[in-house]
Amino acid sequence: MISLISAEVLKIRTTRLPGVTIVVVLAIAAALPMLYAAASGTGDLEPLNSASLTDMLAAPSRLAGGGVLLIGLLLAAGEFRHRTVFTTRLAEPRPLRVLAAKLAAMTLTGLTAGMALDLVTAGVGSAVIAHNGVAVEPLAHGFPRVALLVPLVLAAHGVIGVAVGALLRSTTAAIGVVLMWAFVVEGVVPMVFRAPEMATWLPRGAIHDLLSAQPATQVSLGTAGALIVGYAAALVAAAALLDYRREV
Amino acid sequence: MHIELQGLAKRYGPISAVEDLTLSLAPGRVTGFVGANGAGKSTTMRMLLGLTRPDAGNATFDGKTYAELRDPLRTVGAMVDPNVFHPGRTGRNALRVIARAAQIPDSQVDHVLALVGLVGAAQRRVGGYSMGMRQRLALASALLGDPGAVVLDEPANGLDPQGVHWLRGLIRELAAQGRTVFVSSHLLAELAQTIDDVVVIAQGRLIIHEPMAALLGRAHGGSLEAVFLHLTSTTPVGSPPGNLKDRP
Repeated sequence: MISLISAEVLKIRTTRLPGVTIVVVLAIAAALPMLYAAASGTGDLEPLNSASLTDMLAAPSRLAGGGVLLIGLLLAAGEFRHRTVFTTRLAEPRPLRVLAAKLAAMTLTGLTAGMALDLVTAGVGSAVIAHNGVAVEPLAHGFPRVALLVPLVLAAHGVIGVAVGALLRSTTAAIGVVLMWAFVVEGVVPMVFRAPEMATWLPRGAIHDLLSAQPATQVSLGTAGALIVGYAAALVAAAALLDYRREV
Repeated sequence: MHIELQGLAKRYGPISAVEDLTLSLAPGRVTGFVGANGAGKSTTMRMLLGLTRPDAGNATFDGKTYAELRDPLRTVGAMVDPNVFHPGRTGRNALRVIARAAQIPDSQVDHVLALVGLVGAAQRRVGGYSMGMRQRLALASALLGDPGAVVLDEPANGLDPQGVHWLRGLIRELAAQGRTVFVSSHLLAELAQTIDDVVVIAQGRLIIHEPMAALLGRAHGGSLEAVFLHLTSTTPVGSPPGNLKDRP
């Protein structure tokens, strides 16, 4: 199994898009604290304070999650687009082992990207806050919790990406479905039903609750975490079932 | 290694792609697999390699189905399509990914790249390869595990005359080393110079399976192409071919 996971990690490392995606995300994450500091105190934004470090850490997580999700989608659905699924299945004919290896590889990728994001954002954010004469308090304002959860949330994005890609087997369809989910289901449906609290029970709402400087308002952190794990598990189960039943 | 196909059958809706196909392929011999487009050659090879599930029957390598093989790539080398590589990956990395999954060292990747004459192009992206180069890369992937059996679907497609000549030598050498070689091709004149035994199928059913020398002997000097056209145009599916000279 370790060799299969290693092969999946090598697939990620030997194409350009995953690396470019991570570098772009980290570059934006490095720039965001500076923009945050420049904008703070204007409009509705609070002046820069010690709690701002937690917000700076959480701010790029949605973008990073999207990036890791995309890598996961491409790792799974890209096999069918480029027909590499044939060589993959010849090397390992049992589809569930291949799916498990992809999930493990994307979990590792998500954790690594999350830790890199933590380091970049915390480093730049601390420097920006200190430069503005505000005390840096990395052990307060929920910072340790968010720093711990960012890698886990990105790993979940990777898992969901693989599951959706394996389910749909088409990069175009997978990206389309994810965008439709993000903008239509999560964005519009709660408004249509005039039930904004519904958003809390959807993946993006649960992630928002997990990564907020102030702990969750509608549901507990445990419930928000369980929601994300539940969505990921349901998608993985569906992907595994279909992967097992369908031919290449 | 003995390859056995026993009562293999596959239907796609109302169409019978392969019907009750039984074959036995011996080690140290090259068996040519010929049939018109849609005759069931690729479906048969995919069932043999576990890429397509048969509706009935089974295909085994020394008594084990492909999915049951402990080290598939070290047992069977297969080439199902030249376009099974990510265009953004270099040729060497494309093979490294496959090798990694099967715990084959990178030194073997370099060895097969040299064997197929792609050392100079190993660091180029596959997207820039010609059809013939992709064909050679696919052959290299089939030979990665130094397998006892080799299954090649249309390996001469896209090769220039030098490439076809080289392929002929490679296939003969593989058989001389005691490997079982099963190769499909539309290039009948070329195939005739390479194979020991010939299998002809039409409409998914076996028409003939016998040594080339015996077949051509009964055809009284006819070419494989002439015999093939004769068999597939006049033989009712399932009936024995009889004496070819006596046929109209």
